[in-house]
Amino acid sequence: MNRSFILPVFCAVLAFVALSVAFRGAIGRESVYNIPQSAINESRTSTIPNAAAPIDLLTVADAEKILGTLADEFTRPWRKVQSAPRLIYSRAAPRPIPTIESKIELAKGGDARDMLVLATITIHNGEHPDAFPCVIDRSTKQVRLYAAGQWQTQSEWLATAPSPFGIR
Amino acid sequence: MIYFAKVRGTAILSAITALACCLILVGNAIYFSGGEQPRFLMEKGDWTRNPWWLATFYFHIVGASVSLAAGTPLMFPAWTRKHPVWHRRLGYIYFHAVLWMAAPTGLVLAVTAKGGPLSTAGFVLAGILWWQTTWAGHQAIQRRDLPAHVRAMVRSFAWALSAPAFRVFQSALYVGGLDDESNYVASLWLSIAASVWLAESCLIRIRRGNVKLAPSSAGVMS
Repeated sequence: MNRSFILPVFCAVLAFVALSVAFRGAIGRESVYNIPQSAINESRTSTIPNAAAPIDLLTVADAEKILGTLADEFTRPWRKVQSAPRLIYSRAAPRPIPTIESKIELAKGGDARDMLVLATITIHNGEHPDAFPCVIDRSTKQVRLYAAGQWQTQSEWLATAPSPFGIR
Repeated sequence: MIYFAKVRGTAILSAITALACCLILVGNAIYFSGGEQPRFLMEKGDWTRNPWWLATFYFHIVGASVSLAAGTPLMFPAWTRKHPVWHRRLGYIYFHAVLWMAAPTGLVLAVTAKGGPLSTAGFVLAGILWWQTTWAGHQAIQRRDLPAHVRAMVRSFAWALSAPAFRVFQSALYVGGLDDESNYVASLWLSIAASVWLAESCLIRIRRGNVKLAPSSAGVMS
């Protein structure tokens, strides 16, 4: 093999390895800074209240705000794909992605002394709506959601966030 | 362009093909803009968290873009006759961009292609034949066998043109109402068929003597 072959092959291999190392570093840095906000919130709110201290009960408005943030987080991956740059003249799927919306409904008629707030998060993404019943503990601020036939924590539920891609 | 020599509308077809190649180059800039992740990469899901896969993807994008940019002028016999030195230089770039960047990375990416085994089979077939025809073109010119060089390079660049052809088919089938998954597989195989047809119909016209080629020394690589 002459030099006109060896040099390009060597350069290509070198460039490929350098690129892989650069991506490894970039992905590593990204994952350090990308700890999901929900995980932080969950660890903050999962502390057991001190029995001696007065219990700071969550208001209904705050509960609604927590659910709003949670629903927003759940639909974020979908919205991210929807807003991603795309050209019609590319290999990306040409069909536009339907919009995703969330709606929160809190149970009416509860007592102010109730320790739990009951609600439903409904997700619409173009097809049939998905409703997720949820319970918020007003003292611990923990949320439990009913999905796929079982009660789930916030992070378990967020892990099932919908993706607009049927094929990979 | 040699593919459309002696057919009606040569200039228009050549201009459309060159424009389609330019659009791909412009479109590929989306991967280097540094902004939000493009949709095609999002479709790949967790693969984009794999540094080896990402390096392979970007190598493919760069290699394929270089091969399209360098290869397009080489397919104009009049330009080749006028600029034999540039033909050799661009040919050298095209050859190495295909053999060590675009084709091998295309083969690796075929494994993770969307659309399942049918897509994988299509991309593997295209990758192998693109590599083989490019290599054959180089070997032929090393032997000073110009007809064999032309045959191989016409076939090789036709494989490069399967990329713009794919996008044309995909857009047309989308307008026709086909769902995305079927569209992807159908567009892939239609673009493969178009590449084969483009190259072989051109070679038939060359064999019949309808198309005049460059003088013998024009394509010799150093």
